[in-house]
Amino acid sequence: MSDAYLTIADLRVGFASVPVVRDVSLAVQRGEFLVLLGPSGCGKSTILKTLAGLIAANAGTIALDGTRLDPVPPHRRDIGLVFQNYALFPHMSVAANVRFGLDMRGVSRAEADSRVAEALAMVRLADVEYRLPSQLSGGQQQRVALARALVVRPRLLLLDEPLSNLDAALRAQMRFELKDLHRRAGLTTIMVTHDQMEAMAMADRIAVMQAGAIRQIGTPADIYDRPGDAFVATFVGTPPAALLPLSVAADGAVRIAGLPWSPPPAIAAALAPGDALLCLRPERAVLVAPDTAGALPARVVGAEYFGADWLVHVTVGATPAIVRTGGPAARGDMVGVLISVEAPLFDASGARRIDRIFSMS
Amino acid sequence: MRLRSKRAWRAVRRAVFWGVLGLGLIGARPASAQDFSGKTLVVGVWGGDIERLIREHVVAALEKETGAKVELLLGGTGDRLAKIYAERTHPTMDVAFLNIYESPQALKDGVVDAPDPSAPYYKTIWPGMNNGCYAMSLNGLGIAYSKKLVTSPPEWADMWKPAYKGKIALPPYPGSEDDGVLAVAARLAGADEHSADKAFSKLAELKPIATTYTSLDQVFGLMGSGEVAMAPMIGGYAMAALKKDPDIGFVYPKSPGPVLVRDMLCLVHNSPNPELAKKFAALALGVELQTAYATELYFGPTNMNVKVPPAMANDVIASPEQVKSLLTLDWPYIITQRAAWTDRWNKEILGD
Amino acid sequence: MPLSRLLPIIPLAPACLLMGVMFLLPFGMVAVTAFWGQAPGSWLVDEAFTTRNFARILADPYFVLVIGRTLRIGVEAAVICLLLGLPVASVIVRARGQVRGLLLVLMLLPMVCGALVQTLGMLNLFGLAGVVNGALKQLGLIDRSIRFLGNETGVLLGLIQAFLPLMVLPLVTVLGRIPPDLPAAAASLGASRLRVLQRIMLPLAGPGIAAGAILVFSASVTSFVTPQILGQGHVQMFGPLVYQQAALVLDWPFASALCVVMLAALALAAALLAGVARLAARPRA
Ligand SMILES: Nc1ncnc2c1ncn2[C@@H]1O[C@H](COP(=O)(O)OP(=O)(O)O)[C@@H](O)[C@H]1O
Ligand SMILES: [Mg+2]
Repeated sequence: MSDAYLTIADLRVGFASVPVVRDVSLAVQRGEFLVLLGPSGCGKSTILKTLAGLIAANAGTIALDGTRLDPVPPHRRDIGLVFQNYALFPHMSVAANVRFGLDMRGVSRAEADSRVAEALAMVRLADVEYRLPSQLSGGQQQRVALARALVVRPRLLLLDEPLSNLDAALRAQMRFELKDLHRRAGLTTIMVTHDQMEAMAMADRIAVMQAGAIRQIGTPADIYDRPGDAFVATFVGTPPAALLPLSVAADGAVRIAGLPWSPPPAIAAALAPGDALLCLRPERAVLVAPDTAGALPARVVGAEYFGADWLVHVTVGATPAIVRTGGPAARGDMVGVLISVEAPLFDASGARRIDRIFSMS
Repeated sequence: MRLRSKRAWRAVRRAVFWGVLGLGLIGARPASAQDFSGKTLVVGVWGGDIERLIREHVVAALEKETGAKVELLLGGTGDRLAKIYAERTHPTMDVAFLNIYESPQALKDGVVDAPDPSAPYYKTIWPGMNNGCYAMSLNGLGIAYSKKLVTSPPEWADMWKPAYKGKIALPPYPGSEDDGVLAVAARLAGADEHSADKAFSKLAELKPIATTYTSLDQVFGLMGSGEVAMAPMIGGYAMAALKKDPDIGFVYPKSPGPVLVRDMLCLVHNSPNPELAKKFAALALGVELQTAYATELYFGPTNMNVKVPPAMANDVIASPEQVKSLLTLDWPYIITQRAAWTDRWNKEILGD
Repeated sequence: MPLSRLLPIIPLAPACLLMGVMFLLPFGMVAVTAFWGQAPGSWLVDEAFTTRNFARILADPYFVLVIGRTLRIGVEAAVICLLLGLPVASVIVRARGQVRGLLLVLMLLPMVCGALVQTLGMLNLFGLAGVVNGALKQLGLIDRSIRFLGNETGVLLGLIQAFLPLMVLPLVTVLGRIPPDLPAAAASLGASRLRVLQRIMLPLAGPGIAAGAILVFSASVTSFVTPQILGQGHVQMFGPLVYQQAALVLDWPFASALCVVMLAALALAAALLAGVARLAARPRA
């Protein structure tokens, strides 16, 4: 922890005494690409702005590269922030926008010229340098904002939902370019997003946030395969995982979503008496005949076709769930849902993963 | 028979139709010269008390007598002059109240009619007062003073006493008060208003002027607080106002006597309703309104037949002796100097 | 021109007509009258072309002085209103919802009352017999009133008081349109507060500053009531001067010529300000 490049400890931020960021601690390694993932309004932008010095923290410390940042005013922090809405200066050309940070640092004219050209080339915008921001497309504006932050070679790059205003095709392309850029520039980067696909695709590590607190930090695989709690399990993954209430009576009788269920022997062996939540991911289950041994009893309520696969919507008891399949299913049919790979199990409140993982095999 | 009767009936109907129409046309003409219904007499006059008294004592009676409507256009003489000069060829105003210094010029420029010596209301006015137009009211330029600073009723010369330096207020130039003060200053310097240099250099001795006052309340307030000692003022206005304030006095000085200033009633040349205008003039110059002017506004009547109550004899210029004591200026000359004197006033009296 | 191309212009016709009748026509008449004169010893306008009025204005240092003083006071009023208006507008812009509305109404209240009421208020407050002098006398601090009014400072005070809203309103409009992220972005790029003001806020507020300055300046140089009452004859300005010539001396051609000279000066000033604003707003390469 102590050798981390950026260390945030017990950070607390509030607006007019309404807490927005609650005791957030975070360590980021040099050159790492960390993604803050969470639903909108959970405090992600607030953390970035606090790092940049634009919002004052109520408590906690921030240290970058071994020095405390808290007393440093924003313009001396040397942290590049790309705003959610880009915040380009509307009265300045693209080149002037990009050059702004260099001007503020008193970089010589010749050097500034070459660095601006270099930055614009890096984001593939060399041909629009004399246009005003209002004359650019959303994707171009986003890249100008990026170039403007990159050109000063900040000690830390903060990206606030940089792709959220782009259309789907451009977003996919920019996602790749951004990651590529990170690889080439090697800047320590914190990116904020509420899109878990984006987070999975780009992050070295993801910090999942909810209501101002970090629920879990880990690699995308950690987050996906070993979610720390029910919130993380359902927030990460599309379509979202279903949580099926599971109860084991003292005599070993198992009910799932209120229905009697005789789990496969491997699962049965792993269960202990009590209540729990079973996490069912759509891509980690298959539809089988209703009388298949170990299958969950379910009813088909509809199916969506996506070309490569189908999403079959079912209910287990009263609980809805989704299963990704290779073929359709008829509405109203009774089916069995067979858990195909290991699935996490949480305690009844969903706050903690029960560290017993079971599977078919 | 049936055919003939039908044709006859048609002829009768036609005759009746034309007859009625003809009668109607005749009926639409004024039955006599005294019926003015449908006409509107336009009178340009000051707003406030003057307007109120004219409404009460003239407009009501005239409208009743003639059936005409009277419209009072309120404003200062500048507004009225602008209007009657601009509409010189097609006037819409019938009667305009002007100041004494304006009426001779208006007559000279042909925008108003000369007073008619044969008119009955001409004859009841003090002789020699109808300059340019009919004299409507007599007023004297006197001195309003703070009783706290000026213990006895002052003379003009007292304004120049060192004790009152910087404590004399004047109204904005041009206006009859300031022209009057210039004429007085000239006389104190041994000349008269024809010697502008003497007038201005004498008046400039009063500098700095405490304030250029635009309302009586303003100058009375400054007298109350001891910032202004004296201010030349037209008697009528001052009298009416100072009855409310025991610390302020007003005097008509004697050497020279108070400067005569007058409101004038002018009949606009070529006006649309000359007959009505004359009727208006007869009422306005008559005993009733002139008495109201005297008793309510302290404006001296121009009509010799008005009897001012004895209690007001000192406040209102009404007796032949009082009228004789007034200093009459060469207003036609003064008005020709207006532009030049305005420039001189701006520079020599107000400038540093 | 085909009708379809004319159609979009038709709704503009009433406004154009109104402008034409209410503004251009009278202005044209003033411009023409300025080249007329008055026959000697008469108030009748002599419609023979003459440049006498302009010669008189330019030859007499008094008129040049009054116009010069008026322009200077106008510039002073505009600058002081800008300095006072920027913080006021910033506070209003930062206030939320209802508070913001309330502040705006408070700001506008004096304007609603009209110049005369405000000026008389100033007179009651700062006059020789006013509240402030009265209080000072009561406290025994002075025994003769201090002359706050009847000098340029008094007139300037009155003009600023009367016309500050003309500056604040456009400033609130432009400042309100600057997203708060822009100064934040500039700061994160290394700009100090001063640099943010200089490079971001002022250029973006430029059109509002120019509009406010032109409004305050124009209102000040054409004002009548404030210099007339607060100047007390000691501070001659353009408005009372024209009133004196037109309504009291009845020399309309000369008054018109004064207006033409002033309008020319105003047009020059407006063009200058607009040029400065355009320069400031020009995108930097
Ligand atoms: N300037 C502010 N004043 C008051 N509340 C704010 C302010 N900025 C953000 N908030 C509140 O703080 C919470 C977190 O906001 P934010 O950090 O922008 O969320 P996110 O970026 O995760 O969507 C939200 O509930 C938001 O309404
Ligand atoms: Mg956000």
